[in-house]
Amino acid sequence: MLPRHRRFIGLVTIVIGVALASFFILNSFQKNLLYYLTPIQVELGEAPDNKEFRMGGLVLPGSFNREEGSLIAEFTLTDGEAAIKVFYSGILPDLFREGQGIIVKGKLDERGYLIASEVLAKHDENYMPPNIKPLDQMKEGL
Amino acid sequence: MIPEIGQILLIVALATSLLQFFIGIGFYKKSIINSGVVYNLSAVHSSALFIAMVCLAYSFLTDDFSVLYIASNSNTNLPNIYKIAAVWGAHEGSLLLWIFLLSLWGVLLSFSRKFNDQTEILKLRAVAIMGLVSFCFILFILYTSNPFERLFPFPEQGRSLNPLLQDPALAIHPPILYAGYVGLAVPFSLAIASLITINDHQWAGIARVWCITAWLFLTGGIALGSWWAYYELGWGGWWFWDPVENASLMPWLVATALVHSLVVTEKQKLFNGFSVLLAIIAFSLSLLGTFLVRSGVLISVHSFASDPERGMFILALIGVLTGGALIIYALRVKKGEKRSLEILSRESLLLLNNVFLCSAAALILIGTLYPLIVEMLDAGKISVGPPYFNFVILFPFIPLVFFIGLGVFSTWNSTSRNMVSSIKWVLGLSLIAGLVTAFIVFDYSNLLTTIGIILAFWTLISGLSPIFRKTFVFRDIIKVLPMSLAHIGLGLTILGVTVTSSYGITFDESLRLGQSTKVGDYTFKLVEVNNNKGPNYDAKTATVEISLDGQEIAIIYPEKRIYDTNSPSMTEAGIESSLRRDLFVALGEELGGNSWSLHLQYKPLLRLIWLGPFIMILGGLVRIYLAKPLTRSMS
Repeated sequence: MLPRHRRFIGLVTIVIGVALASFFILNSFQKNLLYYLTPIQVELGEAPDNKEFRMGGLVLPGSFNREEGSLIAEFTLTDGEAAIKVFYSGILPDLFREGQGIIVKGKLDERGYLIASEVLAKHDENYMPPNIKPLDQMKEGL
Repeated sequence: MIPEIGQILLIVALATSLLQFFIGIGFYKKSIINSGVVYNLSAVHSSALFIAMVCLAYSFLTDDFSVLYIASNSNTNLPNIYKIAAVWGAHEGSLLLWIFLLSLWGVLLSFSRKFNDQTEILKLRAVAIMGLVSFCFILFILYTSNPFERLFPFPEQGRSLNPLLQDPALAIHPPILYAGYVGLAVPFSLAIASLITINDHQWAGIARVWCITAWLFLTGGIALGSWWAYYELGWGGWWFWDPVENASLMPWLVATALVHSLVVTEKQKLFNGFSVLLAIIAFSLSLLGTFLVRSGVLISVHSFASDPERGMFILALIGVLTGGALIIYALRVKKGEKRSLEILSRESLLLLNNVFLCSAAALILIGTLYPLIVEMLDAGKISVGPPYFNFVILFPFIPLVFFIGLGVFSTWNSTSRNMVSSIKWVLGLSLIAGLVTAFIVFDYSNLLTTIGIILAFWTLISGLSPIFRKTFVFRDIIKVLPMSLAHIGLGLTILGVTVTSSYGITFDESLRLGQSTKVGDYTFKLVEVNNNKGPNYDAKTATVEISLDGQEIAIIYPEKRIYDTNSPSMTEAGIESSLRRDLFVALGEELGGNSWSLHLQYKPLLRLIWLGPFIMILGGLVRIYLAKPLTRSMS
């Protein structure tokens, strides 16, 4: 084989390799992007179909409910304009409490409830998720 | 009074760093001022910063809450050891530590004797450049984040240090990681110094040991952070692809590439430009890490500060330092000797792997910064999840690990004739060990896991082979030991990561008192939950009995702690560990009806993930030890 041919074959292999790798990487990138939404955006139907997303909000006081001995917790997240009911099975973070700003990750079910696979609360009592205001600054009459 | 002294010392440090830069860079003629002045200035500079830190520590120990930083991060009930750790527990103090460590590297470089008449100029210019970096960051401290800022009127009692941070591993984690970050300033400065002076390969041999030392600290810092997250954050994960973790992994990957590239530049006078570039990128990524952690721009469990002004300032610093370095690079770089590369020679394989290491860093960089860019463009808020990183990292890593094994058997300049015969054995052994592990020790899970395990043994055994290949002469063995240990450590880490990720079991369960559940082969029984009192917290302590085949093997006590101050509860996991597997229980909440939620884990070979870095560090230490006789023979 001439050196010229060898170089050509090498070049082609590299180009194909890089193209394939880029394709897989971009694909994985698209698949694993998580959108962050607020409850009002979810109510307006901006949540992706059958794909996980993140939602931030305050745990509505009085909305937390869990049957005795069960891991399944039920609570409502609000941004002052809309309220979305969330179900989560598992241990809640130490900082989870009513009135606290948290972020959940999950999918919507057919009833429009959010089935969460993850509940995140920051190690800071004063933490507010992006685009969420503290309770006392929210609109009245929710 | 004491805080004011600290403040003055910071200004002294600012002034000395500026002088260090101007004199060292040759602003004045060398005949007028001796280079020794520059080195002494760097010592004064570092001492001033050290005493400033002592001032801050003193104010912490005496509970001087008139200092804003202390009032927000300490209180009278905090144990003394954590009052000292609190010096670098938050933004302002940690930056002070960052700069102090940078100056310390500068002093070590100033008084290093590993330079000869020809390379002495490199040292002088490098120390000057480090002075410039110091100057920029002291300016940053004084301008945006002064730890000595007073508070008036001052409170009787301070806020508490985040209880998460009250932990021995975390008290030493930032200093070690920071030492690694700023240590990369030394190869960076030497590279730039080389560009603006003699501009040949000679800097590489000098920079190599510095780079390895910084790399050691980075390795230790990352491993320590991961270990801490595992037992302290409460949920038993050891890597989260959190932006802050990524911020430490990226410089590590590039520093690893740099260490290898410097070998080629030193020994073969090849790839000089590439080495210079890697040195610039490695330190720039360290700066970027500081930016990511300190600006709070990313949604992260770690982002302690969120102040746009600080973020902009650091971003400007990165722009100036990195941009400036790249411009000098573009204007001055001279490629190493042009030689056609033999495809399976050591230098080709090292180059190939350095490209893979850089691609890995680039992929992580894209995933880390993309959300930031999207947000800046106002295109909504997104985040990139761990599945992205877990998946894409395989593309550079699988070939990387394969070529690491090949590289061990290669020789400089030519394709080794013995390569095939040595590789046959190592490949065979790795296949056998890997298949036995994947199919017999554990059950077959999937192809990727099997490949991962085989590649782990491939790295491990190829790393071991140079030790056994030579006749047993201590002097020969110690020469290959650094490389061997580093590769063995990597192999162990890969094995741990693959096996834990594939065969580990994790779930949450609700258990009544006296009830038990199975985690793999192990039975976990919740015996009781009691109230306890610690030195500065109240705790609920669960007693969990673990048994295997009806035999009790351990009792562990996971806890839920409530610290005295207004902080939320903390989860203190119960862990039973051996080299073979980790058993992990975290206590959740009381669910009523004598039930508790528990987080349960079985993680086989988890310890290897931290044993690996430990062995890599040993390898690096041997290399630094070997570098010493060189000093003596030269001076």
